[in-house]
Amino acid sequence: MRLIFQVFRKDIRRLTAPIVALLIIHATATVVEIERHWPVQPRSINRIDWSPSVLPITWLFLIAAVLLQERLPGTTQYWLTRPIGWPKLLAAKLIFVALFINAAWFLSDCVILSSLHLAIHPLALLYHQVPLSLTLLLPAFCLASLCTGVGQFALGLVVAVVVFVIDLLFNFFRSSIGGVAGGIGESSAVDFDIQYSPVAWPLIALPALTLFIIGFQFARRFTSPSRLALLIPIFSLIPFTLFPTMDLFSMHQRVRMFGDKPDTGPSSLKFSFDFESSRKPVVVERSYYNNLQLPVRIEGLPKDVFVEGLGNAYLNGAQIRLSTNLYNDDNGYWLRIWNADSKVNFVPSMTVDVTASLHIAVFKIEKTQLIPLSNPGLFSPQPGTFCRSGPTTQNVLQCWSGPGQSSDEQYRAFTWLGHSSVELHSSPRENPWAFSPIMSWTLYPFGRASSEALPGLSPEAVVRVLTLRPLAEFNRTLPTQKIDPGPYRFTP
Amino acid sequence: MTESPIQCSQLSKKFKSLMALDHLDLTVPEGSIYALIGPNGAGKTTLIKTLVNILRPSSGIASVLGVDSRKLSPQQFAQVGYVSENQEMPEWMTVSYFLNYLRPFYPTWDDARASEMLKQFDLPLDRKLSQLSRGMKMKAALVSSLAYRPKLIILDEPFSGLDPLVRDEFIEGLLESASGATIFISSHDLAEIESFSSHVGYLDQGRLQFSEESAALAARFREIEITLPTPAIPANLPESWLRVETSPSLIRFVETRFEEVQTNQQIASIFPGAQNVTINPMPLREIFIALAKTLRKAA
Repeated sequence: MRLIFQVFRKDIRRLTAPIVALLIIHATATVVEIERHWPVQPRSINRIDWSPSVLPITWLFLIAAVLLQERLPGTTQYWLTRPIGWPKLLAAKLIFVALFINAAWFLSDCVILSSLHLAIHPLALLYHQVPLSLTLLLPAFCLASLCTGVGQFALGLVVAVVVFVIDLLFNFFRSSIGGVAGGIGESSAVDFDIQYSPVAWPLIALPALTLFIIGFQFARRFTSPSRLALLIPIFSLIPFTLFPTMDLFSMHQRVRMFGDKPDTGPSSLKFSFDFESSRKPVVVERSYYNNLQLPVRIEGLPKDVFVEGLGNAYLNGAQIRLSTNLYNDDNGYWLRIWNADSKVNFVPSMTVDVTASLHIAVFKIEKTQLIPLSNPGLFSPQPGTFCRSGPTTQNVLQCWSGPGQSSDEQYRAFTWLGHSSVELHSSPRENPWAFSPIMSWTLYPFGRASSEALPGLSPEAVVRVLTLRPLAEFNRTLPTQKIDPGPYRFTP
Repeated sequence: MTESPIQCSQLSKKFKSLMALDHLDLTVPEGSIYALIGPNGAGKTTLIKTLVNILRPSSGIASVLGVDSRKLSPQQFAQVGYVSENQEMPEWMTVSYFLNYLRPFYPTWDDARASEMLKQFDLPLDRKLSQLSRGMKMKAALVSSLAYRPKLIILDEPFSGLDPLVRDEFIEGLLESASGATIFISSHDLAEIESFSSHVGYLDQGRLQFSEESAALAARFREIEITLPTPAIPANLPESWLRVETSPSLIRFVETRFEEVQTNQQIASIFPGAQNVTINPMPLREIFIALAKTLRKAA
């Protein structure tokens, strides 16, 4: 332990300047993150917005710097004949990374959450670091252990980036051919699970392999075989990407088959709904991953129609963007709220003030056609929508709409007949990143998305105030104060 | 009987098609100052790096302090001092920080000894290693490798690039501080090595040509010059005669198995009319050159 500490202390002394730089960038990124969610100050955000993107680069080069202090490849380093075993050396380096990268990030998360008056759930925050460590830090650590200098390390990063760009480009063009099934974890409509995608296997194998290489390299310093071993999985991603899986291919075909069905039907149905117990705390009875599931009462709807809601919610008066949707099942209607791009976790005994805004779509399903019934201005499938009953055992109905409510987004609706839901996806054209299986995995840590953070974590979250407001009002003024709760009647 | 600090048995190291060490057998006696000499590319540095587990042998065994070099643990490294001419040092450290950093690694670190050596070498404690001259850097490396009283000191070309004064100081410091330790040193500086080595090994093309005590080596090598009345050089000369040079009335060679009586008898039998026989002892440098040229010619 003493020697581990000795090496660790030496590394800190040697890398004091990069560490200080990293902490400054971290602090800046934390402020940016807080400001992004709190009363908006566009100018200040623009001024310091570079920090979140600089942060991962700083991490990578700090990892390289600390490992290159005791460079592994080569035969002339003084430390090779000094009495320190490789496990201690490895431990010293891992502690360094854990402290200045993982712990600093964890601390930053805690500061952000407490600044936003949100509960800090350490386990969930640590869980966020797992994908980061597996997909970024570990490969970088591995790469650095095989390099003789920072230049070589940078070259290695360039190779990795080139591979990912090839993947990105391919996915971009593939997306424009016909529909896209969605990336890993993006779609719930077809149970697009990791096991269905061979693309994911190299991504699972990569952390495992990097762990093995790190151990092998530290213990034996067989640099050439280790380099070869690292290159194989990186380059194996390309053929996996270039040849889409059968699942993806069949889904393309499926979507294209029904590409030109017109959208028909009346849009005159009136209905109203209200939240149960909107003035008193609502105990969430069900949860799905990190979501709040609130019971909703909707009146005046015929039994054979479906209601879909899609929109944003705001938490604790801050501009924390939450996504909401409305769906129904055998027990009635539910408003689901989940955090799309923040680190908020709904945890037991957490008290939150939520203000939600929804686009409501009411529609009927006749044969393979989705018939919108709601008024214009609300979310509804646009002309060009095509739907079909899915051939799967899940009885899935897939709908692909035209341009959505905003110019740069498209809605893609997946609707189960039994469990209807609507999911919002960015347009593949606008945001190809989200549609690249590799990218969605790789960028997952940076997105700080936590909607799938910890299954079953929030069975008893409490919503104290829940106010439903029209989206237009929301877009006009950002809520900076608690909104007076009250029953909201929606009469389109 | 104590085990040899360094023992190699059929040790080979191959780099692709190049055989750097070729079935080498070597034993370094305990307490000896063993000088490994040989031309460039003979495999000296490869041998040393194999001994300290920087390189792994392709076949055979190298044992250091009784342990297979591939299995050297921190416990053994705490008893080995290693200084090499091309060692990469942590140049950002000051001399003082460098020594303080290394101290906890060695249970036997002797501060008094380190201070003595620092004083003897006149090393500036507050100066970074990057700001030191090559000689000073080697001295700092030596201090860091001797302060813990290692049982075995391995030096790879420690004198190269050092001026004579620094070289003298270096050797003086080494000998004063390493009493009782086994020293294994490879060097081209044969004049210096000759002055303090107890054993000499000659490595060429990865093979150990000989390995013996310095005194015995010096005793068996002689440069002999014979003046002949008539030009009559026999075709077959003894194998132990190297670098045979002839002129019509003179023959000069290096005898590698010199024994006064026997060699004189041999000369008398080959050259019955020899008029004048001059026998001169050879310094290590001359022996090295004679061997190197002969082996190169044979190759």
